[in-house]
Amino acid sequence: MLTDGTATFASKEGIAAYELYADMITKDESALHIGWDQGIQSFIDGNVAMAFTTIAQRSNIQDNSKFDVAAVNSPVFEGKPVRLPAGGSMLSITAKEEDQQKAAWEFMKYLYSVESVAEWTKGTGYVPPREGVADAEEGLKQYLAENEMMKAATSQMDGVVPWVSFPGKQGLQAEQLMLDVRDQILNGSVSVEEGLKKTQEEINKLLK
Amino acid sequence: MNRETIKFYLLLLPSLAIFLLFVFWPFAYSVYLSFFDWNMISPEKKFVGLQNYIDIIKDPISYKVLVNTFIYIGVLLLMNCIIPYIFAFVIDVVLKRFKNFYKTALFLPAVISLVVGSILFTWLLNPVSGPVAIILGWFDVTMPMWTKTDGWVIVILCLITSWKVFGYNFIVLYAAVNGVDRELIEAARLDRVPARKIFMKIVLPLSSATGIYVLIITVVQGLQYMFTPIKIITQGGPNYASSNAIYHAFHEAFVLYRTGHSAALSILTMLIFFILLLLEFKFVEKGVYYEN
Repeated sequence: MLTDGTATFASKEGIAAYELYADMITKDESALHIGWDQGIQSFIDGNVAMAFTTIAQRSNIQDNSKFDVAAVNSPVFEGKPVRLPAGGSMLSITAKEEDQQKAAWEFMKYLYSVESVAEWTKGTGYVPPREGVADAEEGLKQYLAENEMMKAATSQMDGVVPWVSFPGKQGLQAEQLMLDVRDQILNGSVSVEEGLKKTQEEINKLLK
Repeated sequence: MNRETIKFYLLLLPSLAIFLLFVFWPFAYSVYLSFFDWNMISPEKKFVGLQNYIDIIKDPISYKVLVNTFIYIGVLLLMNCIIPYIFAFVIDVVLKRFKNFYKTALFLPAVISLVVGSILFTWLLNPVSGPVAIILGWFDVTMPMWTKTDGWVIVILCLITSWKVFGYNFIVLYAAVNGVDRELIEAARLDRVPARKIFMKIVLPLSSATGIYVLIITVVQGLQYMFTPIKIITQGGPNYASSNAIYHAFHEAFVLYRTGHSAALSILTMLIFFILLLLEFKFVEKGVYYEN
């Protein structure tokens, strides 16, 4: 999406990928153009066949759907590596005194211990943000055996990339432009190529 | 100043202090901020003069948002001023029985939080699996994907807001209609005047003082109440289709952190409403009947 600080998502491949999704909504109408909450409700009801969403929805879907539900790894274009965007976590120590810093460091180590991260994963639904938890006995081994759907996420963790963070003071506005063009494309009021190229230009102007 | 006057001013002080702190001071600060470029956390603000105002006037999104604001006002006036007025008249003057039941039933949703209402209606009005969609399905009607459709999104969001606002406006208008002299209505009934004319020529003019109050709060409060469903359900909607001037000012300040822009938009919105108020004073106040 970003190369050396300029937006480059309107490449041939970017447009082709976006077109795959947009055509499902505008051309053959095989995908539902609906908000996130309502979409998940419709999937749980059994009215929608497939959902591509965050792993955090797993317990909601697993517990509430009355049919046999399963999760699979992300499909990928032929010849390309799987890349899944994921949010990150950050713990920072802002203490100024040395003994406070030492104490904060002890606490941080505890928070990142295998047991703590396992509890965190069970509570939030997200994948554990460190190695060694998914297979550990005191970690998630038992949990993953009982909740098979979670494996789809944990097994793809090596293909994770960070969400694009547009640099500079106008980063949030750049993100807003991407959301706007998404709605314009999915509404059918602009073609994928036109929309993406125009937005890329506008974002690059903002990033200067 | 004699002691009485000093006492009066002292009694006014608490209300005045709250007004100063929560209305006048933020307003003055907004005017000040609208001339700066600031992201709300940086320790320095950059002075840009009128650039924020120029940016807003040149931005096509501002016009879409402004048009939406007027569409919202129109729909809100229909749902929360005109229809409650008619309901109040019908239930007070035309109906004979079950008046108390209607009054309670219509007012009840007003006590429920709009956040809860928005979440409820997102499910109730789910175009694929919600109860309304299922019932419409029996008649072979497919619901539009209203969260992603221009036009429908404004109507449905107004419906959700009016679920709460209708009750309060209805009760206020009902009290006003109730205050119209029964003898006038009886006399008109004896003369075989149709109900429609009784409403337009007798009840409406005589209750117009309250009617004007409800008109103004429908617009002002309505636009403020609208913020909740917009924030929860569409966050400004498919490409600003459900955004209005008030929501967009929030969006600029607290989502994009462009405080100067947001302040400038707020001031411009205020000017537009000021003009609307002037128009109201000029053209509407004459027809209003104030009992004293």
